[in-house]
Amino acid sequence: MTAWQKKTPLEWLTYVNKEVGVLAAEKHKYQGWVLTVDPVSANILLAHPLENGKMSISAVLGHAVQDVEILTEADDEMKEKLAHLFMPEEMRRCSQ
Amino acid sequence: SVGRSAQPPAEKPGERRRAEMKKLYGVGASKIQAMETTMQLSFDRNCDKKQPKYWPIIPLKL
Amino acid sequence: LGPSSLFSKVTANAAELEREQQGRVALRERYLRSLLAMVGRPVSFTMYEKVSVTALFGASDIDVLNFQVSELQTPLGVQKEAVLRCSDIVAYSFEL
Repeated sequence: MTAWQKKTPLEWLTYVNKEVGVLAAEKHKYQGWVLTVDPVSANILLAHPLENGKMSISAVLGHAVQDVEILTEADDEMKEKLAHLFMPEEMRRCSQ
Repeated sequence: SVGRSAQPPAEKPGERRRAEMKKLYGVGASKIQAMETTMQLSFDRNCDKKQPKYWPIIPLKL
Repeated sequence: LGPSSLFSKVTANAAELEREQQGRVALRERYLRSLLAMVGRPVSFTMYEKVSVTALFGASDIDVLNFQVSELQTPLGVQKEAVLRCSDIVAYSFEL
């Protein structure tokens, strides 16, 4: 088990809505806004806005995460965007 | 002959899982368990129907 | 320890446990929703040993150990139906 996999849910929560750089196994690097960390697998889910208006979603698998560096905190607009990415349509309407 | 091992387990596996879920997720346990069950059913159904093989055959990483 | 301080310690622990449980629910729910959002979409997988493949995502088991996929494009051709071991995967990504 790596240090990342051993973190508690409350520790993982501190990364949510932060822009991070992730160093992964075999020198792979990823950057994006943290959507969540799966408490079962420690997979870290990142969102990365694309120029065409879409979102690129990446996940780095928990066992492959070597280091996570916090770069910036999301503003309210970005937080809203991140919070609603996977919400079903009807829930999206209710929460607005 | 019927040995001790042939006795049905005193505790059903579903109950054990429910108790573990409750400990991990508290009041949210039933919501998470419902979502997980849906996903696992879909995984099992797809594997039954499509008979997928592991790729690659040998794990890349042990 | 007097009875009152013992009591406050117990309630503090209960509150802490509840916060951790709520955090775990929020993190897990968002991850499960992302898996649902991925169903039927083309996903790129970066695997160990510099192997890259794409496939249509089907489903994951609840322990996030295996991904069932279709139309897997491997360096050696297409495999119609496959299961990927999550332990072989460094990262995966898709567009939303």
